[in-house]
Amino acid sequence: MPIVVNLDVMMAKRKMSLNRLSEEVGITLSNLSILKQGKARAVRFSTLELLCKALDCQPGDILEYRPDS
Amino acid sequence: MKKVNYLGQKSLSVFLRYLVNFLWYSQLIIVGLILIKFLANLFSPENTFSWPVSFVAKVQEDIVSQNPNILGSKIQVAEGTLLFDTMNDWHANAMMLLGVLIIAAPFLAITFQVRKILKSFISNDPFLKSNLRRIRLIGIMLMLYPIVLYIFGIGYSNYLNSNFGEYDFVNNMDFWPLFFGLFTLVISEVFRLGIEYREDNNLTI
Repeated sequence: MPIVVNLDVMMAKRKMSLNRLSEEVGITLSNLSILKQGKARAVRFSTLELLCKALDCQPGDILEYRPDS
Repeated sequence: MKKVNYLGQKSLSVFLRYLVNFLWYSQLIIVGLILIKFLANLFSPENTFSWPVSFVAKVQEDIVSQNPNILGSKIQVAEGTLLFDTMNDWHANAMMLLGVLIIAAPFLAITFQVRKILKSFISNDPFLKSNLRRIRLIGIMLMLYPIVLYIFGIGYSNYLNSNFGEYDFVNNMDFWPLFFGLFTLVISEVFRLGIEYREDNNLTI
């Protein structure tokens, strides 16, 4: 899929662990893992809002469009 | 008025499962009895099998075989059955058994698949890929069953015509299973969509 999830990059920048993010956002670890691995089919605006709030970033910092080569 | 539960524990699916279980064990017992009869026949001097025959009746008396190889066989007009004497020939016995199994196998297979599907309904998890495969299989079997029986019936009518004379043996195709088979295949596509939606839902964060 050409949409890449840069959640791990943002988490590293903010020095935030997956467990803490899970607690702050209120998403299960397994769902966060699905998102981090790029296996998710869709992200709710509400989830995106919570992630941006927790990581103090913009949606574009988490999601990136990379065309297929 | 209390709402009827269709899925889960204490639902209509549980009641249906009891019915299907009853049907399943009845079928197993019937097939078992047929096999026992078949084995008993092998060691019996009579060695006969009964098969249903449909024809436009013109005669009142039983029709005896004209073929010297199956002299003991006759069509019992009152009962509407062919009493086939295998004359202890194991080839003929094996053919009879094969015929019984061909007729019984789809019933057993369909009931087995319905049992499995209902089990997933009771555990409130209907949208499984295994259910999709099962529903498709049921559809295909329902569709093929009348066709196979019709082809079998053509051979059977020819056999009766050549061995018992021309008595307008009837060989009709039952269109209802064919219709339900097609309908089940369409339903399986609805199931496929359901599975897709569930996957989408599960992978939406």
